[in-house]
Amino acid sequence: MTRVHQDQRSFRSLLAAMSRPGIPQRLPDADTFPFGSLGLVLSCLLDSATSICLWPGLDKELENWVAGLNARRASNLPADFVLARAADWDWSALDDLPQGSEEAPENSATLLCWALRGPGQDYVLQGPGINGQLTTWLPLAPSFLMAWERNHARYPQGVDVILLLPDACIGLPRSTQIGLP
Amino acid sequence: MQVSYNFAYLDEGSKRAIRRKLLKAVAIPGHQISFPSRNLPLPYGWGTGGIQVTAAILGSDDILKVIDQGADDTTNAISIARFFARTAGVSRSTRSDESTIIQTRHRIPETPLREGQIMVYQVPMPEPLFKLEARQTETLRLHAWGDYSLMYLSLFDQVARQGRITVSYDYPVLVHGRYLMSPSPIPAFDLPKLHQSAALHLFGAGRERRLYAVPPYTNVEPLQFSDHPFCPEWEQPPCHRCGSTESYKDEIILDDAGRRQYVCSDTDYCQRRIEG
Repeated sequence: MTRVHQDQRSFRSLLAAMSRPGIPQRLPDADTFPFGSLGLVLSCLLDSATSICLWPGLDKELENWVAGLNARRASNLPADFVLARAADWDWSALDDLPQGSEEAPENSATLLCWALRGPGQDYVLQGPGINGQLTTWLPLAPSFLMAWERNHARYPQGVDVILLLPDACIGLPRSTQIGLP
Repeated sequence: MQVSYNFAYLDEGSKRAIRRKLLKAVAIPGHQISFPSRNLPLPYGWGTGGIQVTAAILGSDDILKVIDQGADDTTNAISIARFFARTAGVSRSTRSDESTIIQTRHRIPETPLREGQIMVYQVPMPEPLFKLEARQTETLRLHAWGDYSLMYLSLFDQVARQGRITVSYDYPVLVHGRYLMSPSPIPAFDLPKLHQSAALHLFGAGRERRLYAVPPYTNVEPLQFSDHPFCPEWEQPPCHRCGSTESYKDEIILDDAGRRQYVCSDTDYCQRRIEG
């Protein structure tokens, strides 16, 4: 499969993930692509018109691979995308990411959280894209909830989060209200 | 499939730019986002916004349906469907229920949409406030503040002068309780289909270089007053072909004497009713 078609398929999974928050969307061919689901998503989104901030804790091999996608490497914030391993990510830093402005809330950052297999638990989600409410397992420790409540309260400003599992992605747009069951 | 173009015509950089914007649009339902609208082999006003959105999302395994005012067999619909068949080799269908992407000009199909389907709208003017406030710098502020009193005043003016809200198409809606949105010039009859729809709705305005989205299961509420609720004028005779009393009809003038006939605007719906 060419990169053209691979990127299109990855994007459709991302679009489904952001329009149906909390529901894992499979990323085809994640098992054979460099860095799996993360590689597919980065390949689909990044180019020379974008900037990405790599959070400390990522290995050199991944950094080199990301450099090949030509995105501007932002050593500090702001950046269009922030990439972090879930284990290394400090959720209180969500407040420091670009939130967009009142007139252009879309100019906020998107956090790509490489969750792999972390600790997690059930959460209850409500909002656009969710039929009523959804109880689902997310690979996130409950400590993320306070940061998310602040993020959601800033709506329509705020950060959007994409959780990357080994072969799937989960979208958490800023519009989603998240609580415990 | 003609291979002298990139898949679905647009270059990959343009697609990526539109895709990034679409993800943000879905995260902020109803909010207009500017995008780098590209030149296409047809002029603005012929669906360039919808075509670019479709090009950015379309895959080789999609089934594409294109309608113009509900009809599959009009020039604009056939030309756009043929364009994607040529440049993407994508399967085409006229059936709403089996299509994965439906690009539309000014109608929502009568057949209920399902989860996984994507509606792409061709939008001539994305700014719902443009007739009331021409300066984009001002409308940006009004959206930022959520101040839609101008639109409410406009509707109140209609009630005061004519006793009712007289907007019959492009009826202003509030999305997720936050953003005023133009649903594109679909008839007010179609608006209830947008509210809590199971499908994803993407809107593209090529000339105005803006796109926006309504995710599935999102509140889309027409502006209204408690004593003058949203109530689209809708009194049409049954369809001349299939007899439907439920669908939206096109009025066809038959002769100079003014004789007229009404047929379903949604040709797929009408034909399937005739075929039983």
